[in-house]
Amino acid sequence: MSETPILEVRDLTVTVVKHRAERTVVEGVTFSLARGGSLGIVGESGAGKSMLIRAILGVHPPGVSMRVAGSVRLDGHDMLALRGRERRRVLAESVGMIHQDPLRSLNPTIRVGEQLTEVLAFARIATRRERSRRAVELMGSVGFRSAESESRRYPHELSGGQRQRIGIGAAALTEPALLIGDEPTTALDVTVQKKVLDLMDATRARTGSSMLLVTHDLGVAAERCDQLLVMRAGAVVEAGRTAEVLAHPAHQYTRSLLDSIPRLDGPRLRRLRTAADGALS
Amino acid sequence: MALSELITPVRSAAPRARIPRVGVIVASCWLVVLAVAALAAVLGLTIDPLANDYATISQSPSLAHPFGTDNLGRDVFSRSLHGASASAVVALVTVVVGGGIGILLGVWAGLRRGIADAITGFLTDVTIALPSLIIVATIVTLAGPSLPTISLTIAAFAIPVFARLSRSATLSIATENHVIVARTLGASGWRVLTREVLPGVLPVMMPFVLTTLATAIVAEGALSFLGFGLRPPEPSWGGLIAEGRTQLALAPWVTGFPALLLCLTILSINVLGEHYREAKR
Amino acid sequence: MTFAWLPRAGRSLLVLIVIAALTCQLAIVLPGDPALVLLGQESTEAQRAALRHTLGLDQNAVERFVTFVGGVFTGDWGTSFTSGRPVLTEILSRVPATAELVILSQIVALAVTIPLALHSARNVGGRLDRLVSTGTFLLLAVPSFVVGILVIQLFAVQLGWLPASGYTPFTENPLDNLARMVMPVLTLGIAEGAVYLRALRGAAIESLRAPYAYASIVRGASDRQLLWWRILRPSSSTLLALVGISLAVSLGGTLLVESLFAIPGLGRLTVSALGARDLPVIQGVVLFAAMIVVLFGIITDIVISRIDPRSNRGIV
Repeated sequence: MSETPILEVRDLTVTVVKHRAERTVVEGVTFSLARGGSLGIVGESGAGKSMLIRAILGVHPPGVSMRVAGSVRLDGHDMLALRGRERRRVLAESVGMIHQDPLRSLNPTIRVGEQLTEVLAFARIATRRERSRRAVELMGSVGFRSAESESRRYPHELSGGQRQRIGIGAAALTEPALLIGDEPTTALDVTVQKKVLDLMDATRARTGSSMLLVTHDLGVAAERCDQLLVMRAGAVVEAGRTAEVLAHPAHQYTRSLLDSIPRLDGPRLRRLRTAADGALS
Repeated sequence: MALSELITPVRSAAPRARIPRVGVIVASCWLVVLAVAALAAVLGLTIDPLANDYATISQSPSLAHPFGTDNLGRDVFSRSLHGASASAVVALVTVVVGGGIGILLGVWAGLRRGIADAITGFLTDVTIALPSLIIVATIVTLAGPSLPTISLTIAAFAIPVFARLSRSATLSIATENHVIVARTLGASGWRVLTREVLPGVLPVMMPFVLTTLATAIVAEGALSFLGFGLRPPEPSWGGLIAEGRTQLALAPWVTGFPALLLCLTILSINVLGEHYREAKR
Repeated sequence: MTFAWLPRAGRSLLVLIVIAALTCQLAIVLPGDPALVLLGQESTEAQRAALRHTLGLDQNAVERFVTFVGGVFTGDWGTSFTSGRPVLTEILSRVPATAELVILSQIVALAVTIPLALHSARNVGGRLDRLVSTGTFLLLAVPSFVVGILVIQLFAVQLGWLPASGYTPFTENPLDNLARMVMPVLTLGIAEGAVYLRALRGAAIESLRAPYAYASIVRGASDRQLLWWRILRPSSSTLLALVGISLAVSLGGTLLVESLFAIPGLGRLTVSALGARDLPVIQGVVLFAAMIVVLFGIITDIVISRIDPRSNRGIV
C-alpha cells in the first residue's frame, strides 16, 4: 500500500479574472488527503470551496478565467502542468464527482442509463451494449429495484434522490481513487440526505476511494469525514482530524460555526451565536 | 408546443462583442439625419422627385445631384429621401397600430385568461400560418397599393407577435406581488392595467419594437421591389432598387444609393436594438 | 410513440379551415365591383356575370366557402384566368423548382452554420468568432433581394462564372440546373444562415457554460464530445423549431429570389398571378402555401417530440 497521499495541495492560490477585474478567491491553501481517507471542506457560501475544487481539477467556471498558483498533485500527477488529453484521462480514471444539483448535471434529453456510462463513452472503453449492461448493473447496486426499465427513463422522470443516486453511481463507475462530493446533499430533503450519504460511504468502502466532501453543513462533514478543513474568505482557518477540531477549535470562526449547530441537549433559550456577534476577527 | 409557441424572438443571450459606444452614437445620428432629410424632402425642399429632365440623364453623382440621376434624368437623392419617408410611415404605422393593438390584446389575454386567451392564441396561429409576404402582396394588389393600405396590412401581421409577447410578459408580471395586491384590494381592471401591468410589460417589448421597425421597412422594400408596393413613379426604396437594375451597368448609383440607405438604416436600428438589449442585462 | 402532437394537429387543421374560409372571400378585397375591376371597362355585363358566377360572388359567404372547400377536396381548385389551365396543375407544376431551391438553401445554410457555431462556442471571443458574429450582424441588415443583386453582380457580371438567370429542370440537364441554382441558393441560404447562426451560436455558447458541462468535463469529455453531447443534442429541438419557421418564411423569400433569377417556381407564379389579378391562382397559392406551412409545423412538432422528451410534458 502506498503511503503517498492521494491528493496534495500546496499553497494554492486562485485568482479570478472577470471583465478585467481580478479577485483572489482562494488564498494559500495547503492540505493533503491520505489514501482511503476522507476530508470535509466546510465553509459558508463564497468561502471559496467550489473554486478550490475547480482549481484542483482544472475546470474553469463559465465566462471567467482562472489563474492558479501553487501545486496540486493528484495520484502522482502534477495537475497544474497537465494539458488537454492527459488531464482528461486523469480526470476520467481517477476522479469521480458528485454534483450539487443532480438535475442540472444530467442532460435532459438523454436516458439516464446512457448517461451513467458517459465516462466510458468518452474514453471509448466499452461498446454500447457493454455500457448498457454496466449501467443496469450499477443502477442495481445503487438501489434501483427494477434497474433494467429504470435505466431507460429520462432525468425529469426521477426524483431528486434517485437522480443523486445515479450521480453517485456515475461517479463511482471507474472506481476512481478520489471521489469528490460538491455539496451533494444540499438540494435534498433531510431524510434523503442520510440515504445518499450512506450510499456514498458504501460506495467508498467498495471501491476504496478517498473522499473530498465539500459542504456548508459542518454537521454532515463532522459525521462522515475523518479530517476537516474549515475555510473562510478563501483561506483555511482550521485544519486537522475531525475529533480534534470539534473538541478544540483553534479559531473563533470555527467555534461560532460549531455553536450555530442547534443541539437537542443544550440550554433551551440560548441565542445562536453568529459571525455578527463579533466572532469575525 | 403549438405552432404559435414557436414564434418567440430569437434572443442571443450569448456574449457578443459589446456594441461600442461609438456605434450607438453613429447609428442614432444616422437615423436622426435620415429622418430630418426625409422630412425636408417631403416638405418640398429638394428637387422634385418626379421631374424628368432629359438633359441630365444618367449622370454620376455631382454637387447638383449628390446621388446622381437615373435614365429619365430624375434626381436619385431626392427620390431616395422620398422613399425614406414612405418607409418611415410604414414602419411607424406598423409599430404604433400593430404594436398598440397587439399589446393591448396580449395584455388582455394575459390578464383575463380563459376565452380571451384561447381566441388570441388561435388568431396568432392563423396569422403565423399565413405566408405573410404573399398575403400582404395579395391584399395590397387587390385593394390598390396606397400608403395607408400597405402600412395597415403590414401592421396587421405585426399584431399577433406583439400579442404573444405581451401576453407572456403579462403572465409573468401578473404573478408579481404588486399586481396581486392591487387586484385583491379591488382596483379596477383599468387601474391594474395602467399602473401595475403596463409599466412592466412595455420596457420588455422595446427591443421587439425596434425589430419590428426594421422588419416593416424590409417588408415594404420587398413589396415595392416586386412591384406590389407604391406604384411608380412614386419613389420607394424597393421600387428604386428594382428600377435601377436595368441601369446597373451604366448607372450603378441608381440602385446603389437606395440600397445603401436601406441597409444602413436597418443596421442602425439593429445596433440600437442590440444596445438596448445589452443595457437591460 | 407518443401522440402528444395530436391535439396540435387538430388545432392546425382548424387553422387551415379558417384560412380556407378567408381565402375564398378574397374577392371582397377588391374595391367596388370585383368583376368590373378584373375584367376592365370593356367587358360586357354577360362576361361580368359569368365571372361573378365563377368566383362564387353570386352566392353568399357560407355557400362560397362550401363550394370552395368542396372543390379543394375534389382537386378542382378553379381555373387560371391567364393560362386557362386548372389552378392545381399550375401550382403542382411549379413545386419541383421551388422545392429544390428551398431544400438546397436550407442545406447550405445549415452546413455553414453548424460548424461555425460550434467553433464559436469553443473559442468565444477568438478571431474567427468575432469575425463571424460581426459578419452575421452586418449580414442581417441586408435584405435578401439586395443580397441577390450583389451576388449576381459578383458572380455573373464581374466574374462571369455563372449565367445570370434562367432555369433548366434537373431531369433535363443536371449540371446546368445546378449551375443556375448556385446563385439563388446562395442568396436564400445566406439570408437564412445569418438567422440560424445568430441563434445557434448563442445556444452553443450557453450550453458550454451550463452546469452539466462541468459534470461531463470531469468525466473526461473532450471539447468535441462535449459539443455533441451537451449542445447539439439538446439544442437540436431549438434548431428544428427554427428550421420549421424558416421553411415557412422561405416561402416569402422565394417570391423575391425566383423573380430575381427567373426560376419558374411557386414564387414566380404568385408574382405573375398577382400582376395579372388572376384570382383563382392567387387563392390557390395562398391556400397551398398555408397548407405547407401547417404541414411543416406538424412534422416539426412530431420530430421534436421524438428527439426532445421534455416537450412531451410541456416542459419546453
